Formats: sequence, structure tokens, C-alpha cells
Amino acid sequence: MSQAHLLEVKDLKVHFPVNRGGWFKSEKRVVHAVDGISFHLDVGETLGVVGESGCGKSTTGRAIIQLIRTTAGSIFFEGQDLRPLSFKALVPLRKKFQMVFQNPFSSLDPRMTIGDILAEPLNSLTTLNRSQRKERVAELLEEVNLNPKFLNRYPHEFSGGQRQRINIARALAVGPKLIVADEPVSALDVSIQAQIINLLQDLQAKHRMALIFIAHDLSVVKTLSHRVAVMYLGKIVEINETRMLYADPKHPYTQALLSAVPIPDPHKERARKRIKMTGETPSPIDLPSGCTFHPRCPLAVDRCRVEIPILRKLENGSLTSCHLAK
Amino acid sequence: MLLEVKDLSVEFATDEGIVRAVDHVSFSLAEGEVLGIVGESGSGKSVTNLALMGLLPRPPARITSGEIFFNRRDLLKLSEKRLRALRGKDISMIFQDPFTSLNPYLKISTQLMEVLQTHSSMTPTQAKKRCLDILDSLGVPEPEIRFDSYPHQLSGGLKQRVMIAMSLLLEPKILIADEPTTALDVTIQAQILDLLKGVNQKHGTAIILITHDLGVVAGLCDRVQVMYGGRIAERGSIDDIFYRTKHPYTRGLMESIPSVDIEPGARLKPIPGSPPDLTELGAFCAFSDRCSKVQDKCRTSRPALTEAGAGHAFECYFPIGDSLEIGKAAS
Repeated sequence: MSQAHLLEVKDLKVHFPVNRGGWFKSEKRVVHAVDGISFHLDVGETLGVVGESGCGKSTTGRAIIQLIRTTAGSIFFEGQDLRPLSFKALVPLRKKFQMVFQNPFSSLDPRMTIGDILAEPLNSLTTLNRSQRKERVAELLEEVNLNPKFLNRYPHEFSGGQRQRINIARALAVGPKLIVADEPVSALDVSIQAQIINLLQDLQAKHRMALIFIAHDLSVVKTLSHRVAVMYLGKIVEINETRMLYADPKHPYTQALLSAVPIPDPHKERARKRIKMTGETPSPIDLPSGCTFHPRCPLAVDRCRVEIPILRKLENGSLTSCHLAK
Repeated sequence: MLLEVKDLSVEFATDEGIVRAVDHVSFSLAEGEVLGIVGESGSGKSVTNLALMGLLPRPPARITSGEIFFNRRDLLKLSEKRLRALRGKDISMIFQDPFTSLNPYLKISTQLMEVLQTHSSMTPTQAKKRCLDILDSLGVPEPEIRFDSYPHQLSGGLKQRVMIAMSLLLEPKILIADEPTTALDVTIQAQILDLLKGVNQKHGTAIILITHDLGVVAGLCDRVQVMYGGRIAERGSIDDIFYRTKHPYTRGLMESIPSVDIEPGARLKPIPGSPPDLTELGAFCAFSDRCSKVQDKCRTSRPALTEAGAGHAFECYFPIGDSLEIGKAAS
């Protein structure tokens, strides 16, 4: 483990037990939500995490922030492993990592004013006194381009875009070094999405915080991220520097995913070719043998059905888990 | 024309006042055509199509003006009984959310067979065969097993296929698809869009595709109308809208969406502000608050629909001059 990285995740696993079967003869099985992933993140860097529903991207985000119990692995934050820490021991660390949630309508308490919502993390994680807190809240509102006069209003008085700004302000309140944003723009109208993306870019440049940006929209992820990790069935199948990942994707899943994104230009959209994947994502309970992508992979050979591929470094800098990638 | 909407207006009575969801909208749909209706929340795109289907809850909704002609009959004047005979058979609809639009208590078989039993005189054996055939043609693997399943046993993509199968059982002339892929993953979205394209090409079914995603429109539609604040901001052929854009809102939409061609770290050009409050619309351009080209005139009177070419029209006093070269739109 090197000191240089802000965050280093090693072989992280999150398994959820499920019971199947009758009342008497229940059978213990597990959902492999996150199944052994490793990556690192530097100060001020943005890592985009993409994948389809059920690939484990949200679970990864929540595990890093320690909102759910992890099954195995380690999460080093500034050199300290967060996993063995008790809830109490984590509290002083929480001001260093914060989260922005997807749904701007359910992630703000409807009974609290905006001022109270923003003061809450300051209250529980910092030693600021009442007047300092008030000052900080006004400062935060300005920082996300909201009028500080909104202090005494309630969430329902705001539009989706404004609520997401409040969400971001709440995460910023304690001056974190890492923010995990889970689909922060997917519930917003297209014209508003761009406002929030630009805001995140500005805030990151200003505060030099690291960002884990989880999204299913590959175009949005490309705009914001320095590096991108592609997840499939609980595993990272490819991770690379953003420009290279989009220009020269190595894993067949990344290729298929990229070829499925509609292009808002009729001539290009009608001319391009899609890589067709067959079938749908298998259940994370009964994982396929060998490479978990082989049942849908257009290139699969016999080896893929038996041997599990591991991430290996390719010439263009990509880390890809595919036997055939070159 | 297969379908002709003339001067349609829909209002909702709410506690905050009268919401003018659709404000004097006219458009038409030719046989075999794919029309895209693009807009953000509150633009009136979904309400327009609920009106077409006669599915508006009345009250609170009120249709204050307009006619909707289908087969030379005004749908707004039909009795509920006649409308019911027509819904599903001539005009059918795919809803946005495949997770809530199927009845969780009933097997897929019951839900599909119900359509045929209501609208046709097929025997149960014929009806079952028709259902299985259509599921198979839509690429549902092992249709007989799925036919006998409950909705929760299917994935989102499969549920949406079942919804499409249901809407196609009676070979409708018009299929209205309201955000049919918004709830789905990109790879499944691509499959569903291919499917809709196939239905249109093979059976000549006209499609009205309602979406906020210009990428989806680009691949599927022949004509597009962009809606804003309950009105049509701009309409035209797919090339008119993308390469000869006239309305600043249309241009704003294109510039604010990131494309996969974007440079990492590039700045997006958002449209400032947020969509208008529909209770406060009046005799001014609804987009004036957010428009970069706004002048006094836009705030005191509303621009009329202006023709820019055959089938291409827009509502703006200060349209954009001739736009981008073909092949270089919006990136």
C-alpha cells in the first residue's frame, strides 16, 4: 500500500445473504453485489464508475463511505483501513468523505429548513459554534449558486436542480476530501443536468477534492472523469484513463456499452454500427463460470467458459479482465 | 393524414391555479411515420398524448379547445364505449415504466390474452398462439415459459418487451411510446429501439415517440416537434431540427447534452434557469426568461408560428440564422 493515494480499495467484496426456498428447507445463498474489486484514487481526481443496473456500482460507493457492511477486502483512506473501525471510531473521519445521493426528492428531510439541513453535518462533525455555523451555511449556499435568503425555506419549495445543489452543499459543508456522487444528475431534466455537471467541475477545481462519480450515462461520465472504471456483475472489467477508454475500449463489454449509447446527431447515429450482445445480465446469485461476461460476449471461446480472467495491463494503459484483449 | 390534432388545449385546475399544460397545439401524423415529441418535464408532451388516448383524468383536466381527428372522426366527441373499442385496437400505448404498468397479481398470459378476448373473436387456442408468436418475434427467449410467468419474474427489458407485445397484439395503426426506454439500461435501450424500428418498417405502424433524449430521436424519428411550456417551440424533419435549428431552445437543448464525442473536462453550455411555471404563462414567450437572444418584444407578446420551409416551423421572433453543416451538429 502506498501513502500517495488518497483512497485505495483492495479486493473489496460485498455479499448479501438471501434465503430461498420454503419455510423449513431454506437454502442459504448470496448475492455477489461487489465481488473483489481493487482501485485507487488520488487527491483531486475524479473516477467515473459506469455499468448497468445491478453491476454493483452503487454498492461500491456506499461501501467506501461505510454506509453498508463489507464482506472482505480493505478500504485504505489516507493510509488507514476503514473496514475494521467501529461506528464510533468512524465519526471523526466522516467529515473527510461525504456522499451526494441520486434522488433529490427523497434525500432531503421535508420537515427541515434548508438552513437546518446544511447545519446538521456542521453540528455533528465540527466544533463550530452557532454563529459560525450560520455564516458557513450562507457561504455554502452561495457556493452552489443559491440565494442565501433561501435559508428558511423547505425542500418542497425548490425545483429538482435546486435540491441537488442543496445536496451538494450539504456534502461540501464539512470540507471533505472525497465526495461519492451516486447518479447525481439522472433524475434531472437535460437542460438542468449541464448546470449541475458544471457546478461539480467548478467545486472540484476550487477545493481539490476527489470525486467518485457513479452513473449509467457514459457521456456524462466522460465529461467529468479523469479515469473511468467499467463494472459488470460486481467486478471491474476495465479501467483506464478517460480519453483512452472511450477512444480505444479493450473489454468486449466496454465496447458493447459504448456502441449502444445513442448519438444526438441523425447522420452519425444512422450510420454507426452497434455491437450486439445477446441476452441480459445474469443473476448475481448464480454467477456464470469462468468469465462472468461469457454468456453475452460475441467473442467468447472455450477458455472463457472455464478460466476466470484477471485484470491485466495492456499497451494503451488499460487494465482489462479479458483473455482475448490485446 | 392518419391523425390530425387541431388547436388542442388542456388545462388542469389545481390549488395553485389553472395549469395550462397544453396550449393550442396542432400537429399531424402520416401513415407509417415516426414522430418524435421532445421536451422536458412540464412541456406538455405526455398530456398531449394522454388526450389522444382519451386517458386524461377529468376532472382535474379540462380540454378547452381543439379536435383530434382519426379516420375522419373527432376522438374528443366519441363516447367512452366507442373510445374503448378503439384504444388498443387502432391506437395503443407503451408506458414509460415497465415496472409499474403490468399488474403484479396476474400472469403475463392473463394480461396478454385479455387484450385479444376483449377486442377480437379469437378462440383461446388461436389467441394463445398469437401471443406466443408475437413474444417470439420480439425476441423474448423461451416465450412459453415467460407466457406463464408473473411480472416480477421478468427483468426490466423483458417486461418492456411484454408491454410492446401487448400493444402490438391487435396490429394498431398508431403506437404511442411514452419514454419507452428511460427506465432501462443503455444496452437494453438499444435493443428496444431496434425493435420499435423493426415494427415500424415491417408493419408500417406509425409511432409517436415521446422522449427527452435527443439521441433516441436521432436514430428513430422522421419528424420531430420540440415542446416547451405547453406549446410547440419548433417542428420539422429530423434534419431541420438537428442541422437547420431555428429556435434558441432547441439549440440550447442540443448544446447542453454531453455527447460521447465530448472531450473529457470540457465545459457544457447549460440553459440557465428552470422550466416555466405553467400557472404563470401569458401573452409572452415562455422561454424568454432563459433565452440568450431575448429582447423586450419577447416579454410583451407571443411570437406566432413561423414557417421556415416545407414542414419546418418555429415560434420565435429572433430565430437562429442558418445553422451547422450537416454532420457537424451539436457536439
